Amino acid sequence: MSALTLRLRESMPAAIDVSHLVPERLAELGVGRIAELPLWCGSERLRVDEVFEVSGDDTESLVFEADAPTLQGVGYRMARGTITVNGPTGAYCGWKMRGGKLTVRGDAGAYAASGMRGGLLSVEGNAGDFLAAARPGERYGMEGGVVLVRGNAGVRVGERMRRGSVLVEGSVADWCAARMRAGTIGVLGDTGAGLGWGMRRGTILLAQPPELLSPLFRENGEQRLSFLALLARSLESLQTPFTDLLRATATVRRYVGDRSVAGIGELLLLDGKSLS
Amino acid sequence: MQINGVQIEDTYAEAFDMRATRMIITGPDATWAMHAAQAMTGFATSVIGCGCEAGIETTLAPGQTPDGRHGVSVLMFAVSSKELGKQVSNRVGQAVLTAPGSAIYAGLEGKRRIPMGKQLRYFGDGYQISKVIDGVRYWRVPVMDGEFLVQEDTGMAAAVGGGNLIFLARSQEQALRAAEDAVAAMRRLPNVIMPFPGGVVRSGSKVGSRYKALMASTNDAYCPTLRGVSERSQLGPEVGAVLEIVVNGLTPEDVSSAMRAGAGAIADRGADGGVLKITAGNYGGKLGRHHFHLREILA
Repeated sequence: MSALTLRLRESMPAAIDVSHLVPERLAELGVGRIAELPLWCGSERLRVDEVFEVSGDDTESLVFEADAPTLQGVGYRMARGTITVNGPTGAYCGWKMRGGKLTVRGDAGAYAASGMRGGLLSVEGNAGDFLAAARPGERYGMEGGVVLVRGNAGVRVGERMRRGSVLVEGSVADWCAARMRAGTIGVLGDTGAGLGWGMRRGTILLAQPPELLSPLFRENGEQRLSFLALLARSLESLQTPFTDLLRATATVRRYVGDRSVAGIGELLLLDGKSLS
Repeated sequence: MQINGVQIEDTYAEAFDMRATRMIITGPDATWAMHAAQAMTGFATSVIGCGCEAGIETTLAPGQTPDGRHGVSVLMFAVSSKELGKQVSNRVGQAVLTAPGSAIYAGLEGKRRIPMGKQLRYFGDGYQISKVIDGVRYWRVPVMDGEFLVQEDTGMAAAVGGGNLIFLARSQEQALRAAEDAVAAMRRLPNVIMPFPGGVVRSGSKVGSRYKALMASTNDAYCPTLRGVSERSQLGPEVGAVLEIVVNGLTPEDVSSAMRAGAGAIADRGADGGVLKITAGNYGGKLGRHHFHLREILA
Protein backbone atom coordinates (compact mmCIF):
# COMPACT_ATOMS: atom_id res chain seq x y z
CA MET A 1 0.00 0.00 0.00
CA SER A 2 1.20 3.50 -0.73
CA ALA A 3 0.25 6.67 1.09
CA LEU A 4 -3.03 8.25 0.03
CA THR A 5 -1.77 11.39 -1.69
CA LEU A 6 -3.81 14.50 -2.51
CA ARG A 7 -1.91 16.85 -4.78
CA LEU A 8 -3.37 20.33 -5.23
CA ARG A 9 -4.18 20.77 -8.95
CA GLU A 10 -3.80 24.55 -8.95
CA SER A 11 -3.62 27.34 -6.43
CA MET A 12 -7.04 28.40 -5.26
CA PRO A 13 -7.83 31.98 -4.32
CA ALA A 14 -9.92 30.86 -1.32
CA ALA A 15 -9.19 28.64 1.65
CA ILE A 16 -9.86 24.94 1.11
CA ASP A 17 -11.50 23.26 4.08
CA VAL A 18 -9.90 19.82 4.39
CA SER A 19 -10.91 19.27 8.01
CA HIS A 20 -12.91 16.14 7.16
CA LEU A 21 -9.99 14.43 5.39
CA VAL A 22 -8.46 12.54 8.31
CA PRO A 23 -7.38 8.86 8.44
CA GLU A 24 -10.13 7.42 10.63
CA ARG A 25 -12.93 9.00 8.60
CA LEU A 26 -11.41 8.07 5.23
CA ALA A 27 -10.87 4.48 6.39
CA GLU A 28 -14.61 4.14 7.08
CA LEU A 29 -15.38 5.45 3.64
CA GLY A 30 -13.00 3.37 1.54
CA VAL A 31 -10.53 4.67 -1.00
CA GLY A 32 -12.93 4.61 -3.96
CA ARG A 33 -15.34 7.18 -2.60
CA ILE A 34 -12.79 9.76 -1.48
CA ALA A 35 -12.64 11.42 -4.91
CA GLU A 36 -16.34 12.28 -4.84
CA LEU A 37 -16.36 13.76 -1.32
CA PRO A 38 -17.53 17.36 -1.16
CA LEU A 39 -14.97 20.03 -0.48
CA TRP A 40 -15.61 23.67 0.37
CA CYS A 41 -13.34 26.20 -1.29
CA GLY A 42 -14.40 29.53 0.09
CA SER A 43 -18.15 29.58 -0.52
CA GLU A 44 -17.99 27.16 -3.43
CA ARG A 45 -18.80 23.48 -3.02
CA LEU A 46 -16.55 21.26 -5.15
CA ARG A 47 -15.51 17.61 -5.20
CA VAL A 48 -12.18 16.36 -3.83
CA ASP A 49 -11.03 15.27 -7.31
CA GLU A 50 -11.83 18.69 -8.73
CA VAL A 51 -9.31 20.24 -6.39
CA PHE A 52 -6.79 17.44 -5.82
CA GLU A 53 -5.21 14.71 -7.89
CA VAL A 54 -5.83 11.63 -5.77
CA SER A 55 -3.43 8.67 -5.76
CA GLY A 56 -2.39 5.92 -3.40
CA ASP A 57 -4.61 3.84 -1.14
CA ASP A 58 -3.32 3.81 2.45
CA THR A 59 -5.82 5.92 4.37
CA GLU A 60 -3.74 5.60 7.56
CA SER A 61 -1.00 7.61 5.90
CA LEU A 62 -2.35 10.70 4.21
CA VAL A 63 -0.19 13.15 2.24
CA PHE A 64 -1.18 16.61 1.02
CA GLU A 65 0.95 18.24 -1.66
CA ALA A 66 0.33 21.97 -1.65
CA ASP A 67 2.45 24.95 -2.60
CA ALA A 68 0.26 27.68 -1.10
CA PRO A 69 -1.07 28.08 2.46
CA THR A 70 -4.68 27.49 1.45
CA LEU A 71 -5.46 24.20 3.20
CA GLN A 72 -7.49 24.94 6.27
CA GLY A 73 -8.18 22.67 9.23
CA VAL A 74 -5.68 19.95 8.28
CA GLY A 75 -5.99 17.08 10.78
CA TYR A 76 -9.10 18.43 12.50
CA ARG A 77 -9.94 16.04 15.37
CA MET A 78 -7.65 13.40 13.87
CA ALA A 79 -7.20 10.48 16.28
CA ARG A 80 -4.76 8.13 14.59
CA GLY A 81 -2.50 7.55 11.61
CA THR A 82 -0.28 10.15 10.01
CA ILE A 83 -0.90 13.21 7.90
CA THR A 84 2.00 14.88 6.11
CA VAL A 85 1.68 18.19 4.34
CA ASN A 86 4.45 18.80 1.82
CA GLY A 87 4.19 22.56 1.78
CA PRO A 88 2.59 25.23 3.93
CA THR A 89 -0.83 25.06 5.57
CA GLY A 90 -3.44 27.66 6.31
CA ALA A 91 -5.11 28.25 9.64
CA TYR A 92 -6.32 25.69 12.17
CA CYS A 93 -3.88 22.94 11.37
CA GLY A 94 -4.16 20.24 14.08
CA TRP A 95 -7.28 21.89 15.49
CA LYS A 96 -8.72 19.67 18.25
CA MET A 97 -6.37 16.90 17.17
CA ARG A 98 -6.61 13.86 19.49
CA GLY A 99 -3.88 11.47 18.36
CA GLY A 100 -1.63 10.34 15.55
CA LYS A 101 1.07 12.39 13.93
CA LEU A 102 0.67 15.49 11.80
CA THR A 103 3.75 16.84 10.03
CA VAL A 104 3.87 20.11 8.13
CA ARG A 105 6.91 20.39 5.86
CA GLY A 106 6.51 24.13 5.60
CA ASP A 107 4.92 26.95 7.57
CA ALA A 108 1.68 26.54 9.52
CA GLY A 109 -0.93 29.28 9.69
CA ALA A 110 -2.70 30.83 12.67
CA TYR A 111 -4.30 28.81 15.47
CA ALA A 112 -2.31 25.65 14.80
CA ALA A 113 -2.87 23.09 17.59
CA SER A 114 -5.69 25.12 19.06
CA GLY A 115 -7.78 22.85 21.27
CA MET A 116 -5.39 19.98 20.54
CA ARG A 117 -5.75 17.10 23.02
CA GLY A 118 -3.25 14.46 21.96
CA GLY A 119 -0.79 13.28 19.34
CA LEU A 120 2.15 15.07 17.80
CA LEU A 121 2.09 18.12 15.55
CA SER A 122 5.43 18.82 13.97
CA VAL A 123 5.95 22.03 12.00
CA GLU A 124 9.21 22.11 10.10
CA GLY A 125 8.89 25.77 9.14
CA ASN A 126 7.40 28.60 11.17
CA ALA A 127 4.08 28.65 12.98
CA GLY A 128 1.74 31.63 12.74
CA ASP A 129 0.03 33.55 15.51
CA PHE A 130 -2.03 31.90 18.26
CA LEU A 131 -0.15 28.60 18.18
CA ALA A 132 -1.84 26.30 20.74
CA ALA A 133 -3.94 29.25 21.87
CA ALA A 134 -7.63 29.47 22.70
CA ARG A 135 -9.92 30.81 20.01
CA PRO A 136 -11.91 33.90 21.01
CA GLY A 137 -14.64 32.85 23.42
CA GLU A 138 -13.06 29.50 24.18
CA ARG A 139 -12.02 28.72 27.71
CA TYR A 140 -8.80 26.88 26.94
CA GLY A 141 -6.18 26.61 24.24
CA MET A 142 -4.24 23.41 23.79
CA GLU A 143 -5.30 20.60 26.17
CA GLY A 144 -2.77 17.84 25.49
CA GLY A 145 -0.27 16.34 23.07
CA VAL A 146 3.02 17.72 21.81
CA VAL A 147 3.75 20.49 19.31
CA LEU A 148 7.23 20.89 17.89
CA VAL A 149 8.05 23.92 15.75
CA ARG A 150 11.49 23.94 14.13
CA GLY A 151 11.24 27.62 13.16
CA ASN A 152 9.65 30.61 14.86
CA ALA A 153 6.12 31.21 16.12
CA GLY A 154 3.95 34.32 16.18
CA VAL A 155 2.14 36.15 18.95
CA ARG A 156 0.22 34.57 21.84
CA VAL A 157 1.78 31.13 21.74
CA GLY A 158 -0.09 28.93 24.21
CA GLU A 159 -2.53 31.57 25.34
CA ARG A 160 -4.90 29.95 27.85
CA MET A 161 -3.26 26.60 27.23
CA ARG A 162 -3.98 24.01 29.92
CA ARG A 163 -2.03 20.81 29.17
CA GLY A 164 0.55 19.35 26.78
CA SER A 165 3.87 20.67 25.51
CA VAL A 166 4.72 23.29 22.89
CA LEU A 167 8.37 23.39 21.87
CA VAL A 168 9.60 26.19 19.63
CA GLU A 169 13.19 25.82 18.48
CA GLY A 170 13.26 29.38 17.10
CA SER A 171 11.84 32.54 18.64
CA VAL A 172 8.35 33.57 19.66
CA ALA A 173 6.66 36.95 19.39
CA ASP A 174 4.82 38.88 22.12
CA TRP A 175 2.43 37.52 24.74
CA CYS A 176 3.80 34.01 24.80
CA ALA A 177 2.13 31.93 27.56
CA ALA A 178 -0.31 34.73 28.32
CA ARG A 179 -3.06 33.60 30.71
CA MET A 180 -1.61 30.11 30.61
CA ARG A 181 -3.37 27.60 32.88
CA ALA A 182 -0.96 24.66 32.78
CA GLY A 183 1.25 22.66 30.45
CA THR A 184 4.74 23.34 29.16
CA ILE A 185 6.07 25.83 26.62
CA GLY A 186 9.72 25.71 25.61
CA VAL A 187 11.52 28.34 23.53
CA LEU A 188 15.14 28.17 22.43
CA GLY A 189 15.25 31.63 20.83
CA ASP A 190 13.97 35.05 21.86
CA THR A 191 10.72 35.88 23.56
CA GLY A 192 8.81 39.12 23.15
CA ALA A 193 6.91 41.41 25.48
CA GLY A 194 4.21 40.20 27.83
CA LEU A 195 5.83 36.81 28.43
CA GLY A 196 3.68 34.83 30.87
CA TRP A 197 1.25 37.70 31.38
CA GLY A 198 -1.58 36.59 33.66
CA MET A 199 -0.13 33.08 33.82
CA ARG A 200 -1.61 30.97 36.65
CA ARG A 201 0.20 27.68 36.35
CA GLY A 202 2.37 25.83 33.88
CA THR A 203 6.01 25.87 32.87
CA ILE A 204 7.97 28.08 30.48
CA LEU A 205 11.38 26.64 29.58
CA LEU A 206 13.82 29.13 28.14
CA ALA A 207 17.29 28.49 26.78
CA GLN A 208 18.23 32.12 27.30
CA PRO A 209 17.03 34.85 29.64
CA PRO A 210 14.09 36.89 28.32
CA GLU A 211 14.79 40.50 27.45
CA LEU A 212 11.74 41.58 29.37
CA LEU A 213 10.09 39.88 32.31
CA SER A 214 7.32 41.31 34.42
CA PRO A 215 8.48 42.13 37.97
CA LEU A 216 5.47 40.12 39.06
CA PHE A 217 7.48 37.00 38.24
CA ARG A 218 9.35 36.48 41.50
CA GLU A 219 12.92 35.25 41.70
CA ASN A 220 12.77 31.75 43.14
CA GLY A 221 16.47 30.86 43.07
CA GLU A 222 18.38 27.93 41.71
CA GLN A 223 16.43 24.66 41.73
CA ARG A 224 17.08 21.04 40.95
CA LEU A 225 13.85 19.62 39.51
CA SER A 226 13.47 15.87 38.95
CA PHE A 227 10.58 16.21 36.50
CA LEU A 228 12.88 17.76 33.88
CA ALA A 229 14.57 14.37 33.48
CA LEU A 230 11.18 12.79 32.78
CA LEU A 231 10.45 15.52 30.26
CA ALA A 232 13.81 14.98 28.54
CA ARG A 233 13.11 11.28 28.27
CA SER A 234 9.67 11.86 26.78
CA LEU A 235 11.18 14.07 24.05
CA GLU A 236 13.91 11.62 23.05
CA SER A 237 12.15 10.37 19.92
CA LEU A 238 11.58 13.89 18.58
CA GLN A 239 15.24 14.62 17.89
CA THR A 240 15.09 18.15 19.14
CA PRO A 241 17.88 20.16 20.80
CA PHE A 242 15.54 20.47 23.83
CA THR A 243 16.43 16.91 24.84
CA ASP A 244 20.17 17.53 25.08
CA LEU A 245 19.60 20.89 26.69
CA LEU A 246 17.40 19.36 29.39
CA ARG A 247 19.90 16.52 29.87
CA ALA A 248 22.77 18.96 30.30
CA THR A 249 20.84 21.01 32.83
CA ALA A 250 21.48 20.08 36.43
CA THR A 251 19.93 23.14 37.99
CA VAL A 252 17.63 25.81 36.63
CA ARG A 253 17.07 29.41 37.64
CA ARG A 254 13.38 29.64 38.52
CA TYR A 255 10.95 32.56 38.48
CA VAL A 256 7.38 32.17 39.74
CA GLY A 257 4.39 34.17 38.55
CA ASP A 258 2.31 35.87 37.42
CA ARG A 259 1.80 37.09 40.99
CA SER A 260 -0.65 39.75 39.80
CA VAL A 261 -3.14 36.91 39.49
CA ALA A 262 -1.63 34.90 42.40
CA GLY A 263 -0.19 32.56 39.78
CA ILE A 264 2.33 29.84 40.58
CA GLY A 265 3.41 29.29 37.02
CA GLU A 266 7.14 28.93 36.53
CA LEU A 267 9.73 30.25 34.15
CA LEU A 268 12.84 28.08 34.10
CA LEU A 269 16.12 29.33 32.67
CA LEU A 270 17.87 26.23 31.45
CA ASP A 271 21.29 27.83 31.20
CA GLY A 272 21.23 28.38 34.95
CA LYS A 273 22.08 32.07 34.54
CA SER A 274 19.97 34.67 36.30
CA LEU A 275 18.37 37.68 34.68
CA SER A 276 20.88 40.44 34.23
CA MET B 1 13.66 -38.17 47.67
CA GLN B 2 17.06 -37.02 48.83
CA ILE B 3 19.45 -34.37 47.51
CA ASN B 4 22.97 -34.24 48.96
CA GLY B 5 21.75 -36.36 51.87
CA VAL B 6 18.96 -33.83 52.58
CA GLN B 7 15.53 -35.39 52.74
CA ILE B 8 12.86 -33.66 50.63
CA GLU B 9 9.49 -34.30 52.20
CA ASP B 10 6.59 -35.21 49.95
CA THR B 11 4.47 -32.20 50.75
CA TYR B 12 3.57 -28.80 49.36
CA ALA B 13 3.53 -25.14 50.23
CA GLU B 14 0.07 -23.64 50.17
CA ALA B 15 -0.10 -20.08 48.86
CA PHE B 16 -2.84 -17.50 48.50
CA ASP B 17 -4.11 -14.98 46.02
CA MET B 18 -3.00 -11.47 46.88
CA ARG B 19 -2.92 -8.06 45.24
CA ALA B 20 0.45 -6.52 44.52
CA THR B 21 2.16 -3.48 43.11
CA ARG B 22 5.70 -2.51 42.26
CA MET B 23 7.06 0.96 42.92
CA ILE B 24 10.36 2.53 41.88
CA ILE B 25 11.89 4.80 44.49
CA THR B 26 14.73 7.08 43.41
CA GLY B 27 17.03 9.29 45.42
CA PRO B 28 19.97 11.65 45.10
CA ASP B 29 22.29 8.66 45.55
CA ALA B 30 22.03 4.93 46.13
CA THR B 31 22.22 5.30 49.93
CA TRP B 32 19.31 7.71 50.22
CA ALA B 33 17.17 5.79 47.76
CA MET B 34 17.78 2.74 49.93
CA HIS B 35 16.91 4.63 53.15
CA ALA B 36 13.52 5.50 51.66
CA ALA B 37 12.94 1.95 50.40
CA GLN B 38 13.89 0.40 53.72
CA ALA B 39 11.61 2.72 55.64
CA MET B 40 8.76 2.02 53.24
CA THR B 41 9.13 -1.75 53.44
CA GLY B 42 9.89 -1.79 57.16
CA PHE B 43 7.43 -3.53 59.49
CA ALA B 44 5.81 -5.24 56.52
CA THR B 45 6.50 -8.89 57.29
CA SER B 46 2.99 -10.26 57.46
CA VAL B 47 -0.48 -9.02 56.55
CA ILE B 48 -1.71 -10.27 59.91
CA GLY B 49 -0.13 -7.47 61.89
CA CYS B 50 1.37 -5.09 59.34
CA GLY B 51 -1.42 -4.63 56.79
CA CYS B 52 0.86 -5.62 53.94
CA GLU B 53 3.92 -7.62 53.05
CA ALA B 54 6.63 -5.64 51.33
CA GLY B 55 10.24 -5.92 50.43
CA ILE B 56 13.01 -4.68 48.23
CA GLU B 57 13.08 -6.49 44.91
CA THR B 58 16.33 -5.08 43.57
CA THR B 59 18.45 -1.96 43.32
CA LEU B 60 18.46 -0.05 40.04
CA ALA B 61 21.31 1.78 38.33
CA PRO B 62 20.65 5.35 37.15
CA GLY B 63 20.10 4.12 33.58
CA GLN B 64 17.24 1.90 34.73
CA THR B 65 15.08 4.48 36.52
CA PRO B 66 12.56 6.95 35.07
CA ASP B 67 14.45 10.04 36.24
CA GLY B 68 17.99 8.75 35.70
CA ARG B 69 18.90 8.66 39.39
CA HIS B 70 19.81 5.73 41.63
CA GLY B 71 16.76 3.69 42.50
CA VAL B 72 15.26 0.79 44.36
CA SER B 73 12.43 -1.40 43.15
CA VAL B 74 9.93 -2.32 45.86
CA LEU B 75 7.12 -4.89 45.80
CA MET B 76 4.11 -4.60 48.10
CA PHE B 77 1.44 -7.26 48.65
CA ALA B 78 -1.90 -7.06 50.47
CA VAL B 79 -5.03 -9.15 50.76
CA SER B 80 -7.28 -6.76 48.81
CA SER B 81 -6.99 -3.82 46.46
CA LYS B 82 -8.55 -1.58 49.08
CA GLU B 83 -6.02 -2.55 51.73
CA LEU B 84 -3.19 -2.26 49.22
CA GLY B 85 -4.30 1.27 48.36
CA LYS B 86 -4.35 2.21 52.02
CA GLN B 87 -0.90 0.79 52.64
CA VAL B 88 0.59 2.44 49.54
CA SER B 89 -0.76 5.86 50.53
CA ASN B 90 0.32 5.52 54.16
CA ARG B 91 3.76 4.16 53.45
CA VAL B 92 4.61 6.49 50.57
CA GLY B 93 3.39 9.38 52.72
CA GLN B 94 5.30 8.44 55.84
CA ALA B 95 8.44 6.88 54.40
CA VAL B 96 9.12 8.18 50.91
CA LEU B 97 7.71 11.71 51.00
CA THR B 98 9.74 12.20 54.17
CA ALA B 99 13.05 10.89 52.80
CA PRO B 100 15.42 13.61 51.52
CA GLY B 101 15.61 13.93 47.75
CA SER B 102 13.26 11.05 47.02
CA ALA B 103 10.82 10.49 44.16
CA ILE B 104 8.52 7.55 43.49
CA TYR B 105 7.09 6.08 40.30
CA ALA B 106 4.84 3.20 39.28
CA GLY B 107 6.71 0.01 38.54
CA LEU B 108 3.76 -1.91 37.10
CA GLU B 109 1.61 -1.08 34.12
CA GLY B 110 -1.98 -2.20 33.83
CA LYS B 111 -5.47 -0.82 33.86
CA ARG B 112 -6.20 -1.47 37.51
CA ARG B 113 -4.56 1.36 39.42
CA ILE B 114 -3.74 2.08 43.04
CA PRO B 115 -3.63 5.76 44.01
CA MET B 116 -0.16 6.98 44.96
CA GLY B 117 0.23 10.73 44.49
CA LYS B 118 -3.50 11.17 44.04
CA GLN B 119 -4.07 11.75 47.76
CA LEU B 120 -0.55 12.73 48.80
CA ARG B 121 -0.56 15.79 46.59
CA TYR B 122 -2.78 17.56 49.12
CA PHE B 123 0.24 17.74 51.39
CA GLY B 124 1.28 20.52 49.00
CA ASP B 125 -1.50 22.72 50.44
CA GLY B 126 -2.40 24.16 47.05
CA TYR B 127 1.20 24.73 45.98
CA GLN B 128 1.43 21.25 44.41
CA ILE B 129 1.96 21.19 40.66
CA SER B 130 0.60 18.59 38.26
CA LYS B 131 2.62 17.60 35.20
CA VAL B 132 1.30 15.23 32.56
CA ILE B 133 4.20 13.74 30.63
CA ASP B 134 3.48 11.18 27.90
CA GLY B 135 -0.03 10.79 29.23
CA VAL B 136 1.12 10.02 32.78
CA ARG B 137 0.31 12.42 35.60
CA TYR B 138 2.97 13.30 38.12
CA TRP B 139 2.67 15.55 41.16
CA ARG B 140 5.37 17.94 42.27
CA VAL B 141 4.88 18.57 45.95
CA PRO B 142 6.97 21.34 47.53
CA VAL B 143 9.04 20.06 50.47
CA MET B 144 11.84 21.57 52.52
CA ASP B 145 14.67 20.27 50.30
CA GLY B 146 13.00 21.00 46.97
CA GLU B 147 10.24 18.97 45.37
CA PHE B 148 8.83 15.53 46.01
CA LEU B 149 7.94 14.01 42.65
CA VAL B 150 5.27 11.32 42.83
CA GLN B 151 3.34 9.56 40.09
CA GLU B 152 -0.45 9.83 40.32
CA ASP B 153 -0.98 6.09 40.69
CA THR B 154 0.65 2.71 40.28
CA GLY B 155 -0.49 -0.48 38.56
CA MET B 156 -1.95 -3.38 40.49
CA ALA B 157 -1.62 -7.05 39.64
CA ALA B 158 -3.08 -10.30 40.95
CA ALA B 159 -0.24 -11.99 42.80
CA VAL B 160 0.65 -14.93 45.01
CA GLY B 161 1.67 -14.78 48.65
CA GLY B 162 2.73 -17.42 51.11
CA GLY B 163 5.06 -19.67 49.15
CA ASN B 164 7.39 -21.18 51.73
CA LEU B 165 10.24 -23.48 52.58
CA ILE B 166 10.74 -24.98 56.03
CA PHE B 167 14.02 -26.66 56.75
CA LEU B 168 15.43 -28.63 59.65
CA ALA B 169 19.10 -28.57 60.67
CA ARG B 170 21.31 -29.98 63.38
CA SER B 171 22.02 -26.60 64.94
CA GLN B 172 20.68 -23.08 64.85
CA GLU B 173 23.88 -21.85 63.25
CA GLN B 174 23.72 -24.44 60.49
CA ALA B 175 20.06 -23.59 59.85
CA LEU B 176 20.94 -19.91 59.65
CA ARG B 177 23.81 -20.47 57.18
CA ALA B 178 21.51 -22.50 54.93
CA ALA B 179 18.86 -19.77 55.19
CA GLU B 180 21.34 -17.10 54.18
CA ASP B 181 22.34 -19.09 51.11
CA ALA B 182 18.72 -19.64 50.15
CA VAL B 183 17.71 -16.01 50.53
CA ALA B 184 20.73 -14.88 48.53
CA ALA B 185 19.78 -17.24 45.70
CA MET B 186 16.14 -16.16 45.78
CA ARG B 187 16.96 -12.45 45.80
CA ARG B 188 18.70 -12.83 42.47
CA LEU B 189 15.31 -13.54 40.88
CA PRO B 190 12.88 -10.83 39.73
CA ASN B 191 9.25 -10.41 40.80
CA VAL B 192 9.63 -11.90 44.29
CA ILE B 193 10.25 -10.72 47.82
CA MET B 194 10.95 -12.53 51.07
CA PRO B 195 9.17 -10.22 53.55
CA PHE B 196 10.58 -11.42 56.89
CA PRO B 197 13.74 -10.10 58.59
CA GLY B 198 16.66 -10.97 56.32
CA GLY B 199 14.13 -13.01 54.38
CA VAL B 200 13.82 -15.56 57.19
CA VAL B 201 11.15 -16.31 59.81
CA ARG B 202 11.77 -18.41 62.92
CA SER B 203 8.32 -18.13 64.47
CA GLY B 204 6.32 -20.36 62.16
CA SER B 205 2.69 -20.52 63.24
CA LYS B 206 -0.20 -22.93 63.19
CA VAL B 207 -3.87 -22.05 62.88
CA GLY B 208 -5.64 -21.70 66.25
CA SER B 209 -4.55 -21.54 69.86
CA ARG B 210 -5.61 -22.77 73.23
CA TYR B 211 -6.40 -19.09 73.96
CA LYS B 212 -9.75 -18.23 72.40
CA ALA B 213 -8.71 -14.73 71.41
CA LEU B 214 -5.78 -15.87 69.29
CA MET B 215 -6.22 -16.97 65.67
CA ALA B 216 -2.72 -18.36 65.37
CA SER B 217 -0.03 -19.59 67.70
CA THR B 218 3.45 -21.10 67.66
CA ASN B 219 4.01 -24.09 65.44
CA ASP B 220 4.76 -26.51 68.29
CA ALA B 221 5.38 -29.36 65.85
CA TYR B 222 8.67 -27.72 64.85
CA CYS B 223 9.82 -26.17 68.14
CA PRO B 224 12.91 -28.03 69.39
CA THR B 225 12.14 -27.14 72.99
CA LEU B 226 8.77 -28.90 72.71
CA ARG B 227 10.21 -32.21 71.54
CA GLY B 228 8.80 -34.83 73.85
CA VAL B 229 6.35 -32.29 75.25
CA SER B 230 3.97 -31.55 72.37
CA GLU B 231 2.13 -34.50 70.92
CA ARG B 232 2.45 -32.95 67.49
CA SER B 233 6.24 -32.68 67.56
CA GLN B 234 7.80 -33.65 64.24
CA LEU B 235 11.38 -33.37 65.43
CA GLY B 236 13.71 -36.24 66.02
CA PRO B 237 16.58 -36.02 68.54
CA GLU B 238 19.06 -34.87 65.84
CA VAL B 239 17.16 -31.62 65.00
CA GLY B 240 18.54 -28.48 66.65
CA ALA B 241 16.63 -25.76 64.84
CA VAL B 242 14.00 -25.14 62.16
CA LEU B 243 13.70 -22.02 59.99
CA GLU B 244 11.24 -20.91 57.34
CA ILE B 245 11.49 -18.68 54.29
CA VAL B 246 8.26 -17.11 53.03
CA VAL B 247 8.15 -15.88 49.45
CA ASN B 248 5.59 -13.70 47.67
CA GLY B 249 5.65 -13.27 43.90
CA LEU B 250 3.77 -11.64 41.08
CA THR B 251 2.86 -14.99 39.48
CA PRO B 252 2.79 -18.66 40.62
CA GLU B 253 5.75 -19.27 38.28
CA ASP B 254 7.79 -16.59 40.06
CA VAL B 255 7.08 -18.17 43.44
CA SER B 256 7.89 -21.61 42.15
CA SER B 257 11.21 -20.45 40.61
CA ALA B 258 12.16 -18.76 43.84
CA MET B 259 11.30 -21.84 45.88
CA ARG B 260 13.40 -23.95 43.49
CA ALA B 261 16.38 -21.60 43.85
CA GLY B 262 16.01 -21.46 47.63
CA ALA B 263 15.54 -25.18 48.15
CA GLY B 264 18.44 -25.83 45.79
CA ALA B 265 20.73 -23.59 47.83
CA ILE B 266 19.66 -25.23 51.07
CA ALA B 267 20.22 -28.70 49.63
CA ASP B 268 23.65 -27.57 48.40
CA ARG B 269 24.66 -27.18 52.05
CA GLY B 270 23.88 -30.86 52.27
CA ALA B 271 23.88 -33.28 55.15
CA ASP B 272 27.53 -32.34 55.72
CA GLY B 273 26.41 -28.76 56.33
CA GLY B 274 24.00 -29.98 58.98
CA VAL B 275 20.80 -29.73 56.93
CA LEU B 276 18.51 -32.68 57.54
CA LYS B 277 15.26 -32.07 55.76
CA ILE B 278 13.32 -29.60 53.64
CA THR B 279 9.57 -29.43 54.05
CA ALA B 280 6.85 -26.86 53.48
CA GLY B 281 3.83 -25.41 55.25
CA ASN B 282 0.23 -25.95 54.27
CA TYR B 283 -3.23 -25.96 55.78
CA GLY B 284 -4.48 -29.14 54.21
CA GLY B 285 -5.06 -27.39 50.91
CA LYS B 286 -8.34 -25.79 51.93
CA LEU B 287 -7.26 -22.19 52.35
CA GLY B 288 -5.00 -21.40 49.43
CA ARG B 289 -5.50 -21.93 45.72
CA HIS B 290 -1.82 -22.38 44.87
CA HIS B 291 -0.01 -25.58 45.85
CA PHE B 292 3.72 -25.84 45.29
CA HIS B 293 4.83 -29.46 45.62
CA LEU B 294 8.46 -29.65 46.72
CA ARG B 295 9.31 -32.81 44.82
CA GLU B 296 7.82 -31.45 41.59
CA ILE B 297 9.66 -28.16 41.97
CA LEU B 298 12.98 -29.90 42.60
CA ALA B 299 12.48 -32.67 40.04
